[in-house]
Amino acid sequence: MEEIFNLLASKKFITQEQNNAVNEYQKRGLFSVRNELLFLIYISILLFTTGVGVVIYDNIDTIGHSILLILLAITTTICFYFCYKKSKGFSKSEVTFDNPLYDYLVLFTAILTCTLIGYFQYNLNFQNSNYSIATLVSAVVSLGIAYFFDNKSVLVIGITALASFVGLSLNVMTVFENNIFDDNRLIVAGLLFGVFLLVWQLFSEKKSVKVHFSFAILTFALHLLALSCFAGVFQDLYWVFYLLILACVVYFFYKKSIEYKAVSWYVFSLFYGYVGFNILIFRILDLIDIFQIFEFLTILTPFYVIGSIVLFIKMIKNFKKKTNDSE
Amino acid sequence: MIASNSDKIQNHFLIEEMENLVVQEFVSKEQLNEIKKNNPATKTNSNILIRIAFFLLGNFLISSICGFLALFLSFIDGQNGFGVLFLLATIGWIFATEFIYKQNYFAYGFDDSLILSIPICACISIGIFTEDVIATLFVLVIAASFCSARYVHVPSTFFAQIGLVFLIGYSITKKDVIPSAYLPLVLFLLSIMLYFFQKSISKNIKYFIYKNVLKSVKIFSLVLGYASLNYYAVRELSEVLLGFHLAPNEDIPLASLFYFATFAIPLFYIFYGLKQKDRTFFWIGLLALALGFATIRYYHAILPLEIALISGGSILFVIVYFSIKKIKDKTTGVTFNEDKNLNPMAFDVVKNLLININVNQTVTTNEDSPMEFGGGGFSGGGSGGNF
Repeated sequence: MEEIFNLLASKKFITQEQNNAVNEYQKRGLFSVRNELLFLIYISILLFTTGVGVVIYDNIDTIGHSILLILLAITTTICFYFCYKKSKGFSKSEVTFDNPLYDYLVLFTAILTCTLIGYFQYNLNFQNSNYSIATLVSAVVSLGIAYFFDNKSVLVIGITALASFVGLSLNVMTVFENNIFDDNRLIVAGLLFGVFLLVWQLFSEKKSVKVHFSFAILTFALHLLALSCFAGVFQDLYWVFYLLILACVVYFFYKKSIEYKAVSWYVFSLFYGYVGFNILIFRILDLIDIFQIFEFLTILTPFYVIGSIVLFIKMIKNFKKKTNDSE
Repeated sequence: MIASNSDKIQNHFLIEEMENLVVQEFVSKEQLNEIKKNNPATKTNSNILIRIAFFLLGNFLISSICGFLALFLSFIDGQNGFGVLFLLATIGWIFATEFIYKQNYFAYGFDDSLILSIPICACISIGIFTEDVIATLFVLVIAASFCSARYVHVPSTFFAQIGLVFLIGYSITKKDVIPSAYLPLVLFLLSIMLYFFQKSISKNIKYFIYKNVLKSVKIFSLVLGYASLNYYAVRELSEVLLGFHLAPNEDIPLASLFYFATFAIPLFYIFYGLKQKDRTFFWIGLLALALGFATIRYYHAILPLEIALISGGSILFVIVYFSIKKIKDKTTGVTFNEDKNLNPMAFDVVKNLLININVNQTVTTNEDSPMEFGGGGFSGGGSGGNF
């Protein structure tokens, strides 16, 4: 490491005093294992809760429901008590625990609460076990916990649970298996839920409640809306309509990404926009049905791709310029 | 050998170092901006997403150009004809890459796809001409090493090393250069050699621009070192490659050595990483340790799953909790204080993915149930078959 700073100094990037200061700092040999340790805590919580889940699932007949329910309820209450005791109370802005471990306790509590609610319903068989009520209650409780204790992981749980209530399974795995949307009703539900997320974010920004949650909410909204549109485009009837919605979504997030300086949104909105544009071109070619010029098109494609590369380089430069200007 | 733009690449990396110093508040932002203005650097995408997007575009470009040229060259036919085509393609990509390199694009995205196409096309061409695996792999190693040396290219380095491992593996298992049982040991030796090779080079500040290339060699050598002696890898691969058929009470030769290495190597990595303050060692050690436990569970499931999960979770929690307590107030050496240089973003992403996968499973099973319970009862109510 020292040589690098000497090189920096020799190229006059940093002054000799700065070099000395840096070297002095390096001598302290700091090595932060904070992220690693917190991550391990996280893994341990996941392992433990999964284990408890398996135990409950296996022994449901022998232990008896009521005892398990009571045990779960007691654990949840204890966890809640500790979270509440250590929290600084609700605030509209960002609050953190003094000890980052409590964030994980909150997460643990939220998972336990969701398990408790689901199990409770399963056990007592409310209204012929319509589980959507349990999902809705879990979602509301998780969101409550997320907002009160200011916890982003719980927010993610809340949003996914809410989406499940609407009927979507917003799971990374299902995206890869490409089976989120198998019917028209779900596509519309996805679009509506996406719009709901946008409104939610707008509302919380207006009232300046937990503005730092916006990023997570909008990321959900972006991917959900775009994927719903793509699912819609592959339908035969209304594809033009869905492409129009896609264009609006892409434009909206193009603006938002510059506002938030979020490169990932920018790249994804460009990507979705590009895919949508190509689908449009293919649809049009399919419609006008000119097979005679297909060879001619093959000759054109390299230029088309080079053109799009140049365009994208321009776009990225544009993004960098705009975000630097606003600094 | 390296063209004049090695200076610009060096500037790029030096500016990256400067940005770290700005975060650590050793250097002011104005100083950095001044330096950025005076020292031209390469055109580079530091953001991995943008780089992947351009990589995809580059692949479109390559395939469309290939299709375009293939239209005109369709008169070339036969096996050797194809070989010649790929040889021409290799030369073409070398020129194209040189052009892009001279334009100062470095790790931008589409240059990656151009550079990678050189070894791939060369391999295909040689494969068609010789129909010999060893020659093809040899060309892969040579071409990819050339690319990583000439264009300071990290993915090529990775391919070169993969090629090297396959070359050795193939010549030992299929050509019987030495008895096949020694394959794990040979690979372990290879990993040690790679490690010390990169270590001796990275000592010299002259090769500063190769720091990412060398780091990838380091990561690869550490992973290879563990994988070559991991019990699971050795046992499964010897069944697949060497055709061992183990009876229920039999074990592979040198089994105790591999059992030992499955845990000794990760522990060594972790402690060495902490001692030398080397994050690469530390992370790979943690990962390898997790794999070690998975390996043991795979063959000797002593505890039932739920007990293993619960006890594993609790033990891990206790260990981490006490380590945090112990190092919480230290201000030198290994600490729990935040390092401004590090970006915890990657961890956050992994965490959210894990949450997303875990939580949704429970919720979706809940969702499925109403179909079973409610659906049958109501749907047939009015128009059942009875009437």
